[in-house]
Order: sequence, then C-alpha cells, then structure tokens
Amino acid sequence: MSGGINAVAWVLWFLAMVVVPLTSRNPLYLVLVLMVAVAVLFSLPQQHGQTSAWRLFAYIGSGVATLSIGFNVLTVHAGNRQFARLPDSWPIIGGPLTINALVYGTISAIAIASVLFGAATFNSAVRHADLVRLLPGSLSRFGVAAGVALLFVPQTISASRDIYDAQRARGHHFRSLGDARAFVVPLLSTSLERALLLSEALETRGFGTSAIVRQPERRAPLASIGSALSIVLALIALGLGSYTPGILLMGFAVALALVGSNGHVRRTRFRPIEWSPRSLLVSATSAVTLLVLLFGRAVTDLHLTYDTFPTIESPQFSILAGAAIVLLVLPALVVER
Amino acid sequence: MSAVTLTALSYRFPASKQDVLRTLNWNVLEGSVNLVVGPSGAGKTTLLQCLNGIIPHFHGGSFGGDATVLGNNTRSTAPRDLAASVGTVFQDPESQFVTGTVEDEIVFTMENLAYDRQTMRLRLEETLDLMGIHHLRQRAISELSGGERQRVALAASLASRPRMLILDEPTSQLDPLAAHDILSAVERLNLDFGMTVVIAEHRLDRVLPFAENIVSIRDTELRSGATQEMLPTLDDVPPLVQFGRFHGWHPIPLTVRDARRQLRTLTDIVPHISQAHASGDRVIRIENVNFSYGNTPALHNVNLDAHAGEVIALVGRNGSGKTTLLKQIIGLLRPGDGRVLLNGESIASQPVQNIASRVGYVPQFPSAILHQESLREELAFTAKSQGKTIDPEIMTERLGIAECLDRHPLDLSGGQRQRAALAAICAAEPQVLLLDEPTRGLPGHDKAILARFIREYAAQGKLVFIATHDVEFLILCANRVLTLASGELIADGAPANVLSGSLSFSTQMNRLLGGDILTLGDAGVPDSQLS
Repeated sequence: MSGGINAVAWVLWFLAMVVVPLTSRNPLYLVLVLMVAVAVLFSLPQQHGQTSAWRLFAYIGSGVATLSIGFNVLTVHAGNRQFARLPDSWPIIGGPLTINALVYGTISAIAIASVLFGAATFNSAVRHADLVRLLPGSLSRFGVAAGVALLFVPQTISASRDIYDAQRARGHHFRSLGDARAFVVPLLSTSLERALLLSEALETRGFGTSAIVRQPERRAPLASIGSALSIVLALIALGLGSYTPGILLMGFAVALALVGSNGHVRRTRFRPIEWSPRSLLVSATSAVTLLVLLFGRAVTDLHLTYDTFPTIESPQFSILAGAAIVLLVLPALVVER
Repeated sequence: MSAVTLTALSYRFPASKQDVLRTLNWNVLEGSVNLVVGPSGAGKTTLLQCLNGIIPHFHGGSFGGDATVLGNNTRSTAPRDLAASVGTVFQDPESQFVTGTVEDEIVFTMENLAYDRQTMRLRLEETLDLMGIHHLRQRAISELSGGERQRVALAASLASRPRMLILDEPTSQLDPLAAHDILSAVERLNLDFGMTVVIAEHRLDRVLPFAENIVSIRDTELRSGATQEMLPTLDDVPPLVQFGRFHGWHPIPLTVRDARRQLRTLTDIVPHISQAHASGDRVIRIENVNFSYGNTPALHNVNLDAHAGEVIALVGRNGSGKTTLLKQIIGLLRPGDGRVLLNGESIASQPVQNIASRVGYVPQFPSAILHQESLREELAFTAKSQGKTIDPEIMTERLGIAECLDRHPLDLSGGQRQRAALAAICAAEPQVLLLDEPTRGLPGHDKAILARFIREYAAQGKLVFIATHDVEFLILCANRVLTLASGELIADGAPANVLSGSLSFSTQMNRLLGGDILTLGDAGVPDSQLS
C-alpha cells in the first residue's frame, strides 16, 4: 500500500492515464492529462524514497521530448502554413518549414511528457515488489525483470549524483560536452557493473528457479497458439482502423505469450492485497475513465482524433471525455500523506 | 559428508590470458566454518562464485574441472536452482537488493522458492529476531545506514535457511560492534543448525575466532587446512596472532581471552609507547557546525582545529556523521549553521572545484572518480588539470600498485581500485587529504603500505583525515583520533587517550595488555619480527 492506495488501483490509474496519449492527439485532452499527472505526482508524500528520483526522470525526459518539435519541423514538410524554407537540395531537412509541423511536434512533445509524468507518478507511488506480487506465478519472471528495470532508474539517478559530486571534488569543471566524459564513463561503467551484480543477485536468490514445477505443463502450446491468433486479429483490427480492439488484442497476445513461456515457474506471495476505501474509489474511477475512453465512442463522438495536416483547425472537446480525464485527479485528493 | 568438492578446478575470465584459479582441489566438510584468505585480486571472490554456480553459468570464460556443491554439479545446476540450499551475501550489499523495503527483501528468496505464507511469516520473524532488525522491518532500504543494509542483506540470505552460506567480506563496511553482531549470528546458525559457512574476509581478527579451516589463495594456487595448522604459514595475520608467534605460544591465540591465558607465562613486557607527532600551522577550523539531512540531524555543534602534519582518524558507529563531516570540509555539503575555514578563510562562498585544488577527497566507492583508460592516464589527467608534474611509477610504487599502472582502473580488484583512486587524487598533492574508509577490501599487508604512505604524506606538512572503522589500521598512521556519536564530537585526543580501554574501538593489543599499549611495537615486538 502506497499512500493508502493499493497497487491494483495504481495500475488501473496508470492504464487509464496512458490511454489518452496513446490513442489521441487532441491537444486539449493531452494538456488536461498532463496537468492531472503533474498534480498527482506532486500530491504524493515526500518521504517516499523514489519520488524525487522519478521527478528528475520526468523533467529530463520531458526536456528531451521537446526535441521532437524541432525534429518534426525539420523533417515534415507538409501543411498549408509555411513560415520558412530550406534549400530543396539539402537531404531530409530541405523544403518548406510549416506551422502545421510545429504544432504537431508540440502536441507530440506534450503527449510524451504526459506519459513520462504518468510513469513517474506510478513508479513513485507503487513499490515494484507489490507489482511483482500482482502477477500470477507463471508471469513472475517477467514481473521481477520489469521490477528490477524500474529499480534501476532511481539507482542510476542516485549514482549520477555521487559521481557528479566526486568529480567536482576532484576539481573537475563541467563546462563543455567534452567535460561530460568524466561523468558519463563512470556512470556507464558503474551502471553496467550494477546491472550485472543485480542479475547475479537474482540468480543466487532463486529468481525463476525451475526446481519447483507445479504440474506437467499443457498450457504452453495452447498459450502460444492463442497468442499467435490474437496477434493476427489485432493486426486485422488495426488495419481496419479499429484502434481500441487492436490495442486490447495486442495486449492479450503479449500476456498469453508470457504465460506460455514461463509456465513451469511457480512463485508464492507473502503479502495479500489490501482493499481500503481509497483503493476501491481510485480503482472504480479509473475503470470508468478506461471504459469511457476505450468504448465511449460507440455512444458519442469523443473527438479523440486530431490532425494539423493539411490545415490547422481548432480542436473539439467532448464533455464526457474531459470529465473522464479529470476523474484521474482523484488520487491527489485522497492519497494518505 | 562433504558440502563442497572441487576437483581440478580451473577458471580463466573471458579475454584474459591467465588463469585466476588453476587445478584446485578442495573439500569442505558439511557444518564447518571456512575462511578464505589471500592478497587483493588473488581470486577469493572468483572462488566463491564457483561455489554458488555464478561461475560457469554467468561470466563465460574457460572453466575446467568440477565443483560439486551439496551433491549438485555446478556445470549442470543453475545458480537459481542452488538457491534453496546455498545463500550468498555479496561484498556490496547495495548490489543484491531487489525490492525496496526490508520485509520484502527478506521474503524475496522464499517467494521465489514457493514457500507457503505461514512458513514465510515464521521465518521472517525468526530472522528479524536473529539479526536484531525488528525495528527496521517497515523501513525503505534507501533510508538505512551501511551497517543496517549489511544486516538486511544477511537476513535476506538466511531467511530461507540454506544449508550453506557464502559470505564475501560481510563486515567490510561495518563498525566493530555491528560486525560482531553479524558474525555472532552466523556463528549461531553454524552451531545450532549446522550451516556450512564459507567466508572471505580481510579482517581476520574478526573471523579467526570461529573459523575451523583456512583456505589460502595466492598465485592461482590453493592451500587449505585446520586453522592452527595454517596460521604459521600465513603472512597476513592479526596483531594477536603475531604476538603469539613472537612469544612462541602454542596453540596460537585467536581471541584476546586465549592470549590472556597464555600471558601468565610472560614475565616482562616493556612498553615502548609511540610518541605523538609534532604538528604545524592550523589548516582547518570548524566552528559550531550543524547539519541535517531533511529533518534528520547529522552533525551537532562540531568544533575542531586541525593542523599541518596531523593524521586525524574519525571513528564512530555507522551513521555517526563521519562521511558528512568530510563532505563539509570539501564543500560538497554546506553547514546549516557554523562555518568551515581553510587556511583562515571561510569556504562558504567558494565552489567545490576551487576548494579541490587544496583539499583532495577519496570517496568510499572509488569507481565514481575513475574514468580514464588506464591508471597511468588517470594520474596524468589529475596532474594536467592541476598543472602539476608527477612520476606515476613512484606514486604507484609507494601505494603497492605499480603493476596496475597500465591496466584499466575498472578491471582492478576492490582493494587495488581503492588505492588507484587515492593515487589519482594524491597526484595533485592537495594540502588536505580526506579518505573515506580507505581500507575497504585491503588485506593487512596492503594496509601497512597504505599507512606508511599516509604517514609520509603528512610528514610533508600535509593534513590527512581518515574516516575508518579499522582501528588496527588507524593506529599505524594516525596521531589524533576524533570519536563521533550521533553527529557530536565526543572525544578528541592522541590515539592512546581515546582508544585505550574503549569497548568498541580499542585494539587487540590494548584489550590484551591494557594501559596505553595499542600496537605490537608498543608491546615490545620489534619491527623486524612483524609480518
């Protein structure tokens, strides 16, 4: 339990949150969801060990995401509102530079930033060990690997501070890109060393042991066939423009593949999942948001799609979709501080 | 019955031209306690990795012969499948934590091995009791001190009750009391449950009392035998053993109590108490310094004057504020109240890089500062950036790492890397040198070399601070000792005044002979007789 909200509720919240940047380019929704993610991130209790590290991760990631604006302007030469032109003879970047590309690049940067702030919030709020416990035994190997990957980011950020301090104490000035070598090389080498040691630690602590086999496995072939079938159906759905069923089918295919590949591993859980009123409330509202954003278009137009090509139009807003996104701010109001 | 059988075991790392281990044969009896010793970089950790199956399954390289561990041939049994019967505690506990909190960490192995919840609960409580960490059970690991982390790492390995426990320098980051607690827990598991223990440790004074067998690795070869048989053949032994050897005692004493019984046979010990070193001008003044990490106080009203020529040892339990005080002097942390003066000037407004031209800082984890392709280039980098000229051969010779000069710093062993970082900092010849746990991973012989280096450095009119738990090391070089407790300076004086009679920080010789005697030299053992 993190902030009185259990891991299941946080998973549902995160899924509902990322649906917006994954399925929509409507800037109104994207800005709204970014504000929601930032509000929830800053509502989390400060004493939570990982929070500051993940905030830093979100800031740096969002800074990098702004590069997509320039990339978009220089490489996409479509749109009706030209503001400059580079010589056509220049490869890739040559041609008209348009406001349409600039706006689309900005929208993409906001989408990336919202995913990063959502991920930072999720990782700050949930102990990855709790996530691992959510998975059935057959998926534990995938879950622990993912958990270790999540642990790796804040550990690397923490190591980067130590290295920065140590190099300053050695009298090193960071004035140019070349000076960064004194920072980057120890960071890479210590990160690799730590990854290797962490993997060794996992091995010696029985992670993914095949010594305990539950039953003779019959699931693997069935899971593989089911996974392959789901991928085919997902591709058909995506090809026909049905994005929601396509994404759902693809997720189902991945889950089945994981079940098939790790069917022989058994793992138990020490800590049962606790359902507090806060957890129930966040789960329920997140589920509502998910349902509205994935299936609401069957009832009314949610205006999720938006494009700046060939002309820039004002984005439209659906009260239903907007309200569903605003519901995601609930953890900021109920989290235990 | 054998717990481990090594048959003609050889191993060579990938891309290496030399074997680390060559045709080793070794037999470990089930229920025994075995101490692995050897110089820095001799292959102790590699040997331990052969026992838990990491080698040959993880690193590649060339593996010859066989290792059979509790009936499993490690060629055909993966490390994860040995986990139910073999527990491992790594040199750096940080590297083995997989989850974020103490309880999660302790039950992690049991969850992997599919223990039922009731058994896990029982084992968790027992392990928390055994390690004395009940109060930490809900804490985040990132909030724990080094000693607490080491205890959690050990608890995580013990909770599933493996038949064999492998420990790689488990006390290297611990203060004497914490180390004693950890080793007492291991001893109890061995005595009560017959757990086989294989432990690599440089601090032999801590482990020898309960080691039944010693295995020594040197130049790819292995010798093993009962402790009393092996002791006369070892170069690097604690002061107590050297004292026993000097007086021809048999059996050689392993504890102060053993030695005290034999002491009655001696008629005269003429103390030769070391004289305190003369000190010069004041270099550092610390005035009323207070500092907190958030709401947690770390230093409280610290006042201190330090002079040229002094070697000042900072001692105190894990988390007492030693590293924080060093970081105040280099300016990496700034006082909440009070000020730090360097040569009479406050460093408050000076950037760290400027202070660094006069103050050198070697952190506890040296990998943070090493980034060149070879140690030679590392020294040249410092010399260039500080506008100095140095002879790398002389510098590395003085630190006993001349053979490492053209090797990549990150290919060195822990002890060699520690000294490489020291060489990189000392190349700039800073007026003040700050060393944070410089003996981590160093065997006794290398500690003596390091102590001599520090003494010579201070004799050039420099000031040296050493934060350390290693009392046997600090008395070889320090002429002043400061004791910190909960961020307060509680003792300050000559080593004999501060350490004599201390429950936590006295030397073996002092515990045996009392008075102001701290070293073998004080106890009348001539230098020529010391190993």
